[in-house]
Parts: sequence; C-alpha cells; structure tokens
Amino acid sequence: MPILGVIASSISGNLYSASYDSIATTTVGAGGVSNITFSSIPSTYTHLQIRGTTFGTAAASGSMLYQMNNDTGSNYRSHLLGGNGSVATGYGNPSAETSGRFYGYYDNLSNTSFPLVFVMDILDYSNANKYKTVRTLSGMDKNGANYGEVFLYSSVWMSTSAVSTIKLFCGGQNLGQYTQFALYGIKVA
Amino acid sequence: MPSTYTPIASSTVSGSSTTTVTFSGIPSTYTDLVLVSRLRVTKTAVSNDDVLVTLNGVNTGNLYSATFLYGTGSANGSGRTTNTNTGFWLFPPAANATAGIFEINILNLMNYANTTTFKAGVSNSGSMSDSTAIRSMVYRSNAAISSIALGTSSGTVYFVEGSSFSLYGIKAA
Repeated sequence: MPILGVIASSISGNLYSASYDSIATTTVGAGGVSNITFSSIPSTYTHLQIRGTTFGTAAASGSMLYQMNNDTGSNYRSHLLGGNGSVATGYGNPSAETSGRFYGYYDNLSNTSFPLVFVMDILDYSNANKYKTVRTLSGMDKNGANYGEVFLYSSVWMSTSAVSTIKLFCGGQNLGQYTQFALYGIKVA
Repeated sequence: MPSTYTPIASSTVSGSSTTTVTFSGIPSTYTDLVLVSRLRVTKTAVSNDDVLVTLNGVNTGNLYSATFLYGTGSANGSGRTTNTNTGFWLFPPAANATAGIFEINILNLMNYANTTTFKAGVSNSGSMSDSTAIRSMVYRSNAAISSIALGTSSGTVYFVEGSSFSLYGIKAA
C-alpha cells in the first residue's frame, strides 16, 4: 500500500511569529526538590503555558498543586473530568482550597519511573480585573499498574492580581530527578 | 525571550490509497513535540483501533500503553490498553459518519529526545461524528523519538483525502 512519507525539517519558520516564547525552564537534579517556582514573570504576554514532565521521589503519593503569587489562603477552586481506565468521573470540591489542583483523584504522583505529563494554560494572567482561570490536560499512564489516569482540570485563583509567581508542587512528596517544567508566554498580536 | 513552537513538517493526504503517514528524521533539538492531526478513515464504521501511532518504528516488545476518557454525547467512559505493540489508538470518523467531518487530534509528546526516561504524552481529540476524548500514554523506552508513524489498522482501510498532519517542535529556554 502506498505510504506517505515526510522528511522532518522540510519546513522552516515560526508558526506564531514571535508570539510563543520560552520564558524559563527548571529541571530537577538528583535528590529532588519540594517545588518549582517561576517568579518575576513578565506581564507582557496575553496567556501563559506551562508544559511539564514530572517524577516523584518515592512510593508516597500526592496530588499535583499550584499556588499563585505565594497566596496560601483559601482562594482556589478546582474541577476535574477524569478517567482511570475503567471509570469516568467528574468532581469538584465544594469548598475553596489553599491551592489549585491539576492532577490526581483516583491515584496520585506515586512512582519514579512513569512520567506524569501536563499542559497547563493560564489565561489572561496579567489582567487586573478578572479572577485567573487555569486549564490543564494531564495524565500518567502506568501500563495498568496502580491505575493510569488522564484528567482535564479547570481551576480558578480568586484574585484580580496579575500573576507574577507560580509555585508548582506535589501535595505528598517531593518532585524527583528528571522532572522538568517549562514556562512559555503567548502574545496575541 | 526565545521564540519557539516551530513547524517541523506537515503532510496532507491526496488520493484514496494512503495507509500510513510517517514523520522521520525528527531533530532532537526541541523539548516537546506537538502533532496536530485532522483525519478520517474509510473503514465502514468507527472502532477503537482505526489509527495507530507508532514511535521509532517499534512494533515489538509490548512497550505501549494508554488510558483514555471519552464522551459520545449520550454516554461516557474510560478505558485502557496495556502491553501493546501497536502504539496509541485514535478513533477518527469512519465512512458511516456525515460527509466532511474529520477528527481533530492534538498529541503532545513531552521531553521526547531525552535518553534517560520513558516517553509520555497527553492528547485531546474530537469530532462531531462520534466522540470527544482525552488520553494519557506511555512508551516504555528510553530511546529518543526520531520518527512518528500514523497507520490505519489494516491494509484495506485508508486515510480519506484531505486528512492532514502537522508536526511542531517546542524548545524550552
């Protein structure tokens, strides 16, 4: 049967023409860290995106969480649509929480070899008139062991402050070696 | 700030006899890959193995697995594949779908060029013909990904003309 082949690098140039920029990246070394924090985020973009590959440090577990501008008050709400390979679930905590959620319900970050990956969009992050909405697509398949999960999370930080700092962490353990989070800025022309 | 999200390659199906689209020679200079597909197949009715995504041409060793969540408009559910040789599954519209409807699938393959960890991705997809879905997936190999192939599930199923595929690279600073 005919096979259509494409040689990579046959196209050059930038899709968004200087509107999707790499701002900062952190990669975790041996020993792990308690969190990854992006600070002094410039306000010159329209949206932010964080792309991450995550590992734990032990068999402990915990949900993946974030906080904006070092706000530890009960100013976050989260909702999820998730699947664990056998059950589809929609859930939202009825109470405000001290951090926003972007992974975890059936199981959590609980191993050191299978990557938990996510793409988080933070919309209109520098607008001083709106609460900040965060949408995350996240998943960690473990080849059937201790669940494999996929989530679409929405959350809100109930503050009109421009986001200048984002702290990402696991609620039950440290972030392990090879964890890599990258922050990007998206500018609308 | 360095600009990124760079087109690497793209392909649009012409004619009615294409069974596989392959992106080869993918440079290792990016951090993540994003594969945007707009696809439909000639199979009589949709099933869950209509299009398979294979990495580095590997179809032995049972190295692929995935977990998915879907909604059809009247039902929802979650499923899983484990220890497969056939890569990740996509569920594009088949011949019994309304003419002109294609599935959009956006697959994010993270940290694809590293040689120390398994490769994982998340995707979201949807079409008006049958369902919307999200997936998490892992390829249990430490090898850098240098090729991605999308193939129909049998030699008698073809991509519909106009199906298109675009590969982008995102480079972290």
